Amino acid sequence: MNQWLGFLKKEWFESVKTYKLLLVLVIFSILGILNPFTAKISPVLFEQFMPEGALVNLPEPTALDSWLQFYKNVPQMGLIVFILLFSTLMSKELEKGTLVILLTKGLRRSTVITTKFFMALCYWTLAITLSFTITYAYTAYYWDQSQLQHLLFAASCLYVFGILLLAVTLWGNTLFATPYGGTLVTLLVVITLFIAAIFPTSANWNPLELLTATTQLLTGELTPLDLWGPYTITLFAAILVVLLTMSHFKRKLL
Amino acid sequence: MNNDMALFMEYLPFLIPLIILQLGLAIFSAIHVIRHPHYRFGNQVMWLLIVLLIQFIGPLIYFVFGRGDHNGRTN
Repeated sequence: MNQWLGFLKKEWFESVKTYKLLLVLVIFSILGILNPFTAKISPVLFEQFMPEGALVNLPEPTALDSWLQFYKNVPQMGLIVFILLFSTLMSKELEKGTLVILLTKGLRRSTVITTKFFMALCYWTLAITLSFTITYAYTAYYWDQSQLQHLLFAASCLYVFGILLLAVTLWGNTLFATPYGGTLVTLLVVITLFIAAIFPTSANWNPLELLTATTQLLTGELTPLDLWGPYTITLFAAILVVLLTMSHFKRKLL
Repeated sequence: MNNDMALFMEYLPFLIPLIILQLGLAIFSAIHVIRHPHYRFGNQVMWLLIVLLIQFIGPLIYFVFGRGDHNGRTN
């Protein structure tokens, strides 16, 4: 346990020194502010750029528009940023060979994987909380949010999907030991999920459903119970991928 | 004109933090690029352009992929 905490501390210092904390804080604050801003300004922009005399009936933006922006921006921009940021999680130390020293001194290999994953998880929690809180604060200030359903559950869907992607990135990173390997594997997994989503029956298990269903969750067309399939499968898949990474790393030649 | 000013004032709560964050990040990264002239690939002018012109993805790519080590080794 002591070893685990020690390595976690090392991971934390490394992430601060490589400016990861700063980047996560700044980028996810920007994303959080952008959501209500885009929702509020787009009707005004439309009016400005429409030709003179053209009559357009644009509805006033509501709290739903702001949250739709959140569930569009954070899964796309946010996840891309996050995966890029943590795509060098394993490969940097594997390339430089600094891990070998620690491992020969008796550091357990599973400790390396679990602490790295835990650290990335902490950062993901921080990122989602930050951008959720900022969007929530702005939306509450400008609009009435009472008609929205399952706001927190929808955010947790996004969170769980992020955990799966993180696990996949870590695995790809350990497998190929290059920063591009991890990103490439994640990209392939997402493409596969998209292809699977073409078939309507895949909605029962496809983790991607967690991202696409958020809109219907907010309007109340879907309840959290409809999503238990993808939700549990995503969680179990994430745990499975981390376990696989651990067993793979144990057998890896350094 | 008066209308424009009112519009501008209305969006001020969004604009101030956005501008501070974006400019702050861009300037911070630009200073880092100038003060640490060792990169894994590319040169100073390229990284300055990337950091200053591409909003928040630019600094991210610089810090994750482009930043050299502190001891001056280029790989």
